[in-house]
Amino acid sequence: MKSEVELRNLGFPEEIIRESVQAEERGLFDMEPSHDLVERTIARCRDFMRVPRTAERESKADSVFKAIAARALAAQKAEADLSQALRELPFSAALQDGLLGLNRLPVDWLAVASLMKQKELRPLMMVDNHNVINPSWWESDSGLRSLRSACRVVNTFAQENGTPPASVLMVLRPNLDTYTKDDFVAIGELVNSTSSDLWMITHQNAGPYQQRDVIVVGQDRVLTLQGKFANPGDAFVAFREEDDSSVAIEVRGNIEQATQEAVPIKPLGSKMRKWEDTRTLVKSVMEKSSKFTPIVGR
Amino acid sequence: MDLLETIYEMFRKKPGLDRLPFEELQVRYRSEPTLVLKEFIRRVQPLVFQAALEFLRRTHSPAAQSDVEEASLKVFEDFTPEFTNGSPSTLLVRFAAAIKRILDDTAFEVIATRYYHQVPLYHLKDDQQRRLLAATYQRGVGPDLVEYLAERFQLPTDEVERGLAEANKSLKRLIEKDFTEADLRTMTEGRVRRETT
Repeated sequence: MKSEVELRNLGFPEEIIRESVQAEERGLFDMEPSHDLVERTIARCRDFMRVPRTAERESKADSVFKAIAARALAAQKAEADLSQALRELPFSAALQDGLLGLNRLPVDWLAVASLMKQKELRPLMMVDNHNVINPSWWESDSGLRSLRSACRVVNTFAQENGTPPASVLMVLRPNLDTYTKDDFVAIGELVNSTSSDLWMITHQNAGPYQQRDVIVVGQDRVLTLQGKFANPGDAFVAFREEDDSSVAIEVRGNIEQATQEAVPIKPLGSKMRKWEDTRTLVKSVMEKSSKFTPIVGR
Repeated sequence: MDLLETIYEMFRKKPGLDRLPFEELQVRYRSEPTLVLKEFIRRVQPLVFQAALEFLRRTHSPAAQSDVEEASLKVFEDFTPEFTNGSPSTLLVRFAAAIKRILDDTAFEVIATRYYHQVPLYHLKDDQQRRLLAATYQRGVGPDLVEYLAERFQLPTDEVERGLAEANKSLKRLIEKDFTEADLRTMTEGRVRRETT
C-alpha cells in the first residue's frame, strides 16, 4: 500500500484512505474476482429480470394507430419503407410531410391525439419555463427539438380532425435583462411558427410553475422537469415521467386555470421578424401581467 | 414504448454505457435492461466481492474463492427482480440494501465510502480521469495502486499519478459544484459529503 502521505498527495479524501487502510488490514486485497465472474453473474440473473411491459399502453390505441405503429416499427429498419407506408395512409399531404420529417413516427403521441379526438381534449398541455430550459435550447438540442417536432405532428393531426391543438404556457423569467439575443430569436421563431395555442405568464404569477417545466400527454402521463441545468442534454434526461391519470387530469386542470391568468399570444408574422420585437413583446407581457393575482395549486 | 425512449431513439445518439452516470443508465437504455444490468454488475462487482470476502472471513473463516464468488452472486440474484423498479436515482441505495440483506451491515461498511463515490465519479467528463478513479474505487486504494492502474490502462506510472491527482481534484470540485446536499443524501445515504469550507 502506498503510504498515507502519498495518497494524500494524490488528492484522495481522508475517508477513502481510512477505508482502504482498514480493507488492507482485513486482507481484502488477498483475493480478486475471477475474470469470468461478471459473465457468470449475468447468466444467473438474466432469468430474474422483470422487463417493463408496454402491452397496457399499446392496448389503448385504436386499430388505426396500431397499424401506424406497425408501419413505424418497420420504418426504423428502412427509412425508404416509411415513405411508401405513409403514401398508403389516408392522411393529407401536410401531415405526410410532417411525418416524413421525422426519423421515426412518434407513435405514442399519435395514439394520444387519437384518444383526445374522441374526448375533444387537447392532446398535449405544456408549461415551457424559461427559468428551467433556455428558449434557445429547444432548437440546439436534438432531444428537445424532437419533442417540438412531435408536438407539431400531433397539432397537425388535431387541426385536420377539428380538435383543439396543444396548449403552451410560457413562464417568463423575473428579469427581462437575463434574456440573451439568442433567447429572443428562439422565442420569436416559436411565436411565429407554433401550431399550438400559446400564452405567456410572468414568473411572479406562475405560482407552482415558477421553477417547473411540465408536459401532460393525453390524460395519462406527465413529464416534469425541475432544477437548474448546465446544458440541454442534462435537462432532457432529467424529465421525470409519471404514469398516473389522476395526476395528469389534475395538472391539466391547473394549467388550464393558469392560462386564464396569462396573456394569450398570437403569431405576429412579419410584424415580429427582429429579435427586438420579441423583446418588446415579452416586456409588454411583464408590464401587463403585473396586476394579476398569483395562482396556486399543484 | 416509453415516450422519452421513443424520442431518444428518434433523434439522439446515446453515449456509451460505460460513460453514463448510474442514475442515467436505466433512463437512456430502458429498452436494453440486460445490457444495463451487465454494466451495473461490471461496475459494482469488485466492491461486492470484497464485502463478501469480509463477511465470509468474519463468519466462516477461512473463505475459498468459490465461496466468496457464490456469496457475491447471491447478492445480485437477490437484487435483480427489483433492478428495473424504483427510481433510477436511488439505484445504488436500493442495491446497498440487497448487500446488507444477503451479507450484513458490517460487510457493507467496509466498502460504503468507495461504493457511494461511484455516484459522482461517473459525472466526470474527462474519460481518462473517470476510468482511473472508477477502477481505483472499485478495487480500493490498495497495494501497488499506481502500478496496477498503469498495467491495466497501459500508461506510464508518472502519467497515472498525474491523472489520479487531477481526477481527485476534479471530483472534489464536481461534488461541491454539481451536487446539492439533498442530492447526496438521497443518492448516497449521505456517505458522500460536500466540503463546506
